[in-house]
Amino acid sequence: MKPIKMQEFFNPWCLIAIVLFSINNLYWKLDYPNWITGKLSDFAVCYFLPLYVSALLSLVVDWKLRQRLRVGVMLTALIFTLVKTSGYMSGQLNLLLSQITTAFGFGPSANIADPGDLIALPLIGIAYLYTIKKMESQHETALVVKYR
Amino acid sequence: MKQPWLLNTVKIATLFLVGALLIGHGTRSKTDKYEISWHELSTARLSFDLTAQTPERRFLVEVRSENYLPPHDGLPLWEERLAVQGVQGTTDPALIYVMTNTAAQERYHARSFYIQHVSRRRHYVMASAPRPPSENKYLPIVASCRQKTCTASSILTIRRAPEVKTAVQHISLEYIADLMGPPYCSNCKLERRPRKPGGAKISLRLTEM
Repeated sequence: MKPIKMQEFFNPWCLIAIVLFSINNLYWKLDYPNWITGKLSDFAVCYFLPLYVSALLSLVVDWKLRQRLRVGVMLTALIFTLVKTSGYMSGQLNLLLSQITTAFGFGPSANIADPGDLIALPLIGIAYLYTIKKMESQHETALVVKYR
Repeated sequence: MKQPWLLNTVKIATLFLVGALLIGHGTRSKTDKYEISWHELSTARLSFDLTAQTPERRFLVEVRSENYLPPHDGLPLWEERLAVQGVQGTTDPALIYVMTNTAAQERYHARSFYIQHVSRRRHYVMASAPRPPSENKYLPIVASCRQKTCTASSILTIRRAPEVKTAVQHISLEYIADLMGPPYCSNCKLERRPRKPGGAKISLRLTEM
């Protein structure tokens, strides 16, 4: 069996972002409601979502990493911007997510349109650039090792 | 790795978990009780999501003050704290969806969750709706004046029409407040507004969805 790589997603920074996202949503936002906890999840999601999308794409299409990441970046930026700037789009997202969450016995989803959250958008670019740089350096190292 | 299938399984499972996390991250826990304050906008409406209180039915309650027409030259100041407190607010001045959060209730207000929507003069009225009886025929709403030290309150018991069966129904209910009228309680001496004949009237429309 061929091992699935998804190296863009399974890296420490991405996993840290996911852990922060989880802890913040589950505990910190409730325990310490302030600006930082209000934005932390947005920063985290902007970092790991493009990588997550890219990893998902790697399961279904045979694209190069760069292509997958670009799609992840564009999709994340588009969705994030829409749901954070438009009450309607945010409502539609909640409607969609609530159908899933309530089907599993949880409460409705309550994401909020807040244009101030767009401050986290640069993290999408950082995630892209960092991943590309890291992957390329790993690739070069691998080549050096291979041809030694 | 000698067992790539194991690693693959772990990776796929991780993707699923993260997907579930993304879908459920904004989920609010169910509600036992809520308190709502509303603004003195004559056209202000609040929509209460009572899904948690009536799991089998979904209500949309619109509250509108009719007789008091205080001038208001600005939009409601829906604040970041709405987000912080686990409430979904829209920027639409006419409609605010409210989803309460048991966890937030417990953590912030010790059993009473509310949106503290403070008007310019820091007057606001709060209304709370305890869990309705299991028959779901009555929906008691407690409206309280929160003007400084005022403790007046009035309990409204709103009867839900038992014949409501279809998916979408509108029940128009009117309430003549004896003790209070938004945004000021009649017991309040400070900045009390003259009431129109007939008292303050709050219209509540329950929409079963």
